[in-house]
Amino acid sequence: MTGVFICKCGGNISGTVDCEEVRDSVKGEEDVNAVQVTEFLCSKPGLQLIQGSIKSHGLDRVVVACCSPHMHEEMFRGIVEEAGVNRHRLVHVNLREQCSWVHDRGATEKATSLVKGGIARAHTLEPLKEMVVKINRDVLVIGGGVAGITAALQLSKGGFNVSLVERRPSIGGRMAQLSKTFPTLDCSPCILSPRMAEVGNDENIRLLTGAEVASVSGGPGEYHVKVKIAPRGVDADKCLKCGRCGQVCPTEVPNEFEEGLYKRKAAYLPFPQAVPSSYVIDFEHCKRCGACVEACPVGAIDLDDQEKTVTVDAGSMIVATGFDLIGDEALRTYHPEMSSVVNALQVERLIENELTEGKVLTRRNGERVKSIAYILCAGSRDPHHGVGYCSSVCCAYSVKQAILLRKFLPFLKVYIYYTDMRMTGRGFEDFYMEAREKGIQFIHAKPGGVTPLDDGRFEVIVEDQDTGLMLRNQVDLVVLSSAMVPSAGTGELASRLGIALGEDLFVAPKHVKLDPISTLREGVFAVGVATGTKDIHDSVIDARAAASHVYNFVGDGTARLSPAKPVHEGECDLCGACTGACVRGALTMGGKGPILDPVSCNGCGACISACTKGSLRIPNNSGDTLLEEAKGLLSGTEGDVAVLGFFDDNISYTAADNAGTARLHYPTNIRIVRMPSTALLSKETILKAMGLGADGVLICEVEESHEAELAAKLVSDVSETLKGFGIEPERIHLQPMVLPIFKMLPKFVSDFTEQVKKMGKLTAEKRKLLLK
Amino acid sequence: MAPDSIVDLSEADTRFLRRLEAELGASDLSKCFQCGVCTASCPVREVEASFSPRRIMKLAKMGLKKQVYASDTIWLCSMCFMCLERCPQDVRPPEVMTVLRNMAAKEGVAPANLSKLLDIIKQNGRVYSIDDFTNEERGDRGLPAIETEPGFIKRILEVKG
Amino acid sequence: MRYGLFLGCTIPTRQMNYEQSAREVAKVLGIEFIDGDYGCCGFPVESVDEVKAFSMAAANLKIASASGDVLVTLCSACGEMLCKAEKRLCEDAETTKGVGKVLMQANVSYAGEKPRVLHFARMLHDDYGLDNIRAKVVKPLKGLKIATHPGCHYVRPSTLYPGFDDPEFPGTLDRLVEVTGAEALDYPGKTDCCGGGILAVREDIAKAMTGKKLAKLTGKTDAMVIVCPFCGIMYDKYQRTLEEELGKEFGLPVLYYPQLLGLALGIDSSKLGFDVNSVDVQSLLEKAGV
Repeated sequence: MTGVFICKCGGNISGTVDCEEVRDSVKGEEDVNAVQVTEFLCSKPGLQLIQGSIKSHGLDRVVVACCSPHMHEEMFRGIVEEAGVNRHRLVHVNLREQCSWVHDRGATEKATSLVKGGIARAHTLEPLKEMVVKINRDVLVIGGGVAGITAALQLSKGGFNVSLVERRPSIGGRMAQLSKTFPTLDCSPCILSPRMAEVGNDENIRLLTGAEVASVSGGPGEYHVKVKIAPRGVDADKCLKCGRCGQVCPTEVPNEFEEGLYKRKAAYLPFPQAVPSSYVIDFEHCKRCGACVEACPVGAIDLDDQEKTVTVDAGSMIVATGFDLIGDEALRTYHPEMSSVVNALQVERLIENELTEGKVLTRRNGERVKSIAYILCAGSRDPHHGVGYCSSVCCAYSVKQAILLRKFLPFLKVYIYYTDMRMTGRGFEDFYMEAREKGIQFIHAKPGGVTPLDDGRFEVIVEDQDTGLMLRNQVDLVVLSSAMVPSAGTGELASRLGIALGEDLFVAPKHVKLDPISTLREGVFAVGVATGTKDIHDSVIDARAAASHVYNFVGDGTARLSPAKPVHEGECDLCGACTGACVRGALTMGGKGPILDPVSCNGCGACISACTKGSLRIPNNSGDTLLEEAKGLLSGTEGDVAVLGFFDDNISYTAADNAGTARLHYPTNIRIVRMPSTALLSKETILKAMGLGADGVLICEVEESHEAELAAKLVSDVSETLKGFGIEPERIHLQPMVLPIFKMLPKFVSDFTEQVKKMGKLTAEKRKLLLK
Repeated sequence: MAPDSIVDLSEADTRFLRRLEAELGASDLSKCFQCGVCTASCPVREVEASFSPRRIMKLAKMGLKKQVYASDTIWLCSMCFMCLERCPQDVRPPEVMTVLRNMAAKEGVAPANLSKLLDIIKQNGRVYSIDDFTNEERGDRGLPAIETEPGFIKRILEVKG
Repeated sequence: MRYGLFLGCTIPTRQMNYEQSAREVAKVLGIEFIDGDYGCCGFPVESVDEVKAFSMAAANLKIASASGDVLVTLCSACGEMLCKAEKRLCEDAETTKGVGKVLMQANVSYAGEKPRVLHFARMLHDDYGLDNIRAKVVKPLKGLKIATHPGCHYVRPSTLYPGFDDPEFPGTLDRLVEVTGAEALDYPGKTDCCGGGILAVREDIAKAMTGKKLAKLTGKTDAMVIVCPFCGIMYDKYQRTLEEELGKEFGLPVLYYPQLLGLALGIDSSKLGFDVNSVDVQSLLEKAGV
């Protein structure tokens, strides 16, 4: 007894899809007892409609045809379960992101076949039970800046054990490098340092510095993370911070904390408020002279300290990896290589080291700096040379620095060359006014470059938008308010964690508005600038929100896992093909057959195709289910070529949704099938699907993944067989996908559809061959 | 009555705008957010206050055809391409200028000297004619004579439409 | 090594010094130039009718490809026009269609030929090689301080010349000057435009642009070295006029690169076309010891 509910989505679907016509076309389908069209299915009346219909028609299967399942599938599952229908007998058909938003003509016909596919799938579904497993409540926080610190402390207060992994020898991140924060001009290290100290003292927080994530295994609720810890060379518990080692150390290198403006020794204290509060040996530059060992009064130094690898087990992870400033190449015309051209972080260090000490800024030749030009949007909003996005905080921090500079050096002339002033935060507009009142010059123009003059100063020429005049200026110091980019290694970390990046290469959120902290991988959250440029205020909000997420996810130490995991039924000769196929180590061989670790298993199905006896299956995701769904999807495609798209749910399906949200169009010929993973596909299934009416098969899988390798093998296998049947092997195609390039997906689909159109529909004889 | 110094936006010429946006050279014009890097880098603006590529981009984007064609400024770009290199949004102002010039020329608006130059090229197949005197001097310098008149140039320039 | 030679319009008639010195230098270096029945490249027409301009370029490209050689241009504007035409015809179907129509009506059969096109100086720098040039220098021009003027179309738009020189800080011409033994001066405003592009439209503005660089360089250098006849007309031919109009004294010799290279290769100065140079080069030649 199947019920079908079609949503108009307030015009978002009904704008191009005639929902009543779809209803009329499907109401005669087998076992369909009820078909309803409604304005907003996800609203209270809509949900009541579903529950009422379940009761009055005695439904035991439900098909909802509305927006993407990625939006509300969980909610609909809960609703039908409440009304007595097994939550796994709900099929969620995507009529919006992958139909009404990407098509004009033909949208209704396609919608009809999508719904028919959903109905056909619904008929094959078994009622399933979720697994409740015990999981690890411990949390891994990656990144020890203000966001990571805040999350760690919040979680510790909630009774969670936290491992905080920080790449540098001390936590504190960028906020520790700042002088004052906008708009209140609070002292940055003063407000951060107590938090840092708390982290250092907290019994629930295990602090690993000089540490980086090397590899991740396991799954949501039970992650096993190998962390590489660089040798500190100094016993942090013994170190008195007397500084004698630093005094005798012969090696000097640029100081990273000071952004290269000053030097430090190879035996050094990262900064006064460092946590762990201890010196460090920079083994990359250490000459091993041993002078420090001798000088240390408590014998805390060990130059033979080795790199260690530890395993951190955690049920969830929080990525808080922050940012770097963009490299010099994007800023060439502003001569960043010159010492009198600095970036904003360097100005923070200049303020802290020089101005607060009562010194005056000087140029290389010893003369006082009397004028400074700020160049905003340096590298930002510049896809031609830098990054396309706005870095959010530069307007505010430039105003802040200008106010501070003038406070210390009232004679200073400060010019801020801006393109647009973005002062959106609370208190920011007053801050901006304060700057204008203090005589800081705002010039509405962006220089194309700066010209170094013979006397060491710089010439800056602009066309002032406000007056239309060309203005020439000579300044002593140029500050580049340069673009923020994800910190080095974010991309690699993301692939190790199995999370996706957005188009701008920051971590992609699950939903930009409604779920900005969750990543596309369950149990992994991302906070702070790791998910996009923002200030301290917003980073802290992210961190506190992530703590709340973690609590919801692992709070009581148990998790409900999806039953879409392999089940073993039938013969087993212990051949081990399945355990060999599993790259996540979720299958081990027992005495009678394979044993599954449901937490590590991500339902990819690689083991299914590997099993020579066909004894493994994923409930509700077998080849037969797929073919039934295909029959429904391919109905009504006699007139034109039909393409079946098998898209992996996590990335490729999301990419298709994103393309839909961006309203990018592509031909209606494709029917996208949502796969937990394309590794579930077998040659037989694909050939039969073609026999049933698919003229082309497009497989979209995550680029450079294990699943993509399997898909590639499958495609070449199928191609060979097609050739043998005298069918063009180009009818099957593998398209690797990554989320940042989702805008290309419509083009891939169009191109492949064109190719298939040129090859034409398969003949009836060929289809018979394929079905055998 | 004093002339109205306010430009009414209903004056915006939508046909002009549509034709402009359809051209390859102006394909990224809408991305311009008026930062002014183009004009800041412009060698012509350094010596001539009336020429501002930024201003022309904005007027063109708004479809204010009359203002764009006023005072011949679109003909002042020396095509040095510095702005093209530096524009953060890859608007390619010189290419937009070329599109605007082509559109103006089609409507019969082009600087007189340029039209004269075109006539010369149409006549000679080159910017400067080559006659016996030229070839004599060339011979004196050991340079090969250039005998042929490139008729194909004339024929191309004479094609209608 | 052999190349097709594209002279354009201005050089073979008004700036024969560039052509003369280039051919002499080629002889010494062992480079063969093949002439052809070329016409105007289309550069001046682009402003008024770009499809016709690209058609003119295409017709010239066809002639070049017939000899099968790589085409070398002496004039930077010609080089830019021909490279731009090739890129357009590769990338834009509509332009290709329009050009095809025009050429058909003009009775020019063009089948999409796109021979490699490069500037004379680029050919020397990339193909021939600095070391090979240096090996042939017999009279190093020690003591000469040269300000190179790369000009605009030699390096921009950089998308037309992928992998070649830097549009913001062009250095290849400096390297080419250095192999002659002379010193290449670094100076602000190296990328400034001569103004030649708008000479026909607003002579006054063009001359103001020219005058800026001349003023910047006076007294700082022994000569300017250029690679484009537009620049030659502005900086050399117009220098006297500018001196009068601006009430300044520049006295700055302006040499085409092969004129300078020719001296270093030991070619007699009488063969390098110095009689065409408007600004007297006598003192420069003396300083160079020739």
